[in-house]
Amino acid sequence: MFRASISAGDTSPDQALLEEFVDAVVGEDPDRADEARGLLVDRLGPDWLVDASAVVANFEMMTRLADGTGARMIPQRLEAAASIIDEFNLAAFPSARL
Amino acid sequence: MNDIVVRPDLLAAQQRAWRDVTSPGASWTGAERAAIAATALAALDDTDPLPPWVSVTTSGRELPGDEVLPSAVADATYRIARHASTLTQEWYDAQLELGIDPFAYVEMVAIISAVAAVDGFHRASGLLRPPLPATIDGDAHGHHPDVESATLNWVPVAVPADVKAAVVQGLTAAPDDCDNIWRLAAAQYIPADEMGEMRWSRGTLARSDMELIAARLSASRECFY
Repeated sequence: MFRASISAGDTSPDQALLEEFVDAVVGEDPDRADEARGLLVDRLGPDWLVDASAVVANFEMMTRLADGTGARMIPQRLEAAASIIDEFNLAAFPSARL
Repeated sequence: MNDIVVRPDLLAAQQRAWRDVTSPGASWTGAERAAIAATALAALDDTDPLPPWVSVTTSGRELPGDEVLPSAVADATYRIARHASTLTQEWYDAQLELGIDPFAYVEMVAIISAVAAVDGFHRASGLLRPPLPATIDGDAHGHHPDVESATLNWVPVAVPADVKAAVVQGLTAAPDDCDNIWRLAAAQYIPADEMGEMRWSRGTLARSDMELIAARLSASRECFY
């Protein structure tokens, strides 16, 4: 799901930690995932692991919902996001329903 | 990781979801829904996943729903669970031509989505995923809302169409399952009535952290929406 509501300067100092956590837990390397979980707990605490995992879960769910039902963005939202779609070449995704 | 405690609201939403996907629905019996859920889990657990263009029922692999589900349903379930971003309007139309009723299709997507949520939480946290509960036997009740075609989705949606965002209306043809999904969303992400509050937090992740995780996960799943 494309998230137009986040802006680049609006993330916490733990951005890199969270990015690595997501990449690790959706990847195929269990050791990397264990390490990422351990770092998150050590740096931020066990409640962060639960809440970050819950957000991962939510978007594992929403991606199936969106792509399973053929969800399209409204034209105004597509227009507003045009520069980001171009920058990250998102229109190349097979799931881009433009 | 023995000091990990799952919030009671999240645990309750997951337990409710597990019970719902193994209980009778509007289009599918309890046994059929449980078989769809088990097939979705098998797809998510598959360590050697089939490519999207290969039907799992022709691959020679055993599936947990083999005795219960028509092959078209098992194939669609595997594809949605494992390769959702590859779906197209033509693929959806082909599912209807194979005999999957549109109401049943929407209910199937909802079951798979709920399964992906509970599985995704345990996969991410490293906690042991609970098994599906025992199936609650019973026939499909057959009650469906009034629906119409939508511009924002392939699937029919409850009337009136296209007044809500595509993901909000996408499962409204299966209202009980739609409720299940939004209960999960409230516990996993943000309660619906707080969605517009960009400073909302549970006390850990800021909204911007949540959106970062959402964007990263969605990009890795190649979900444009």
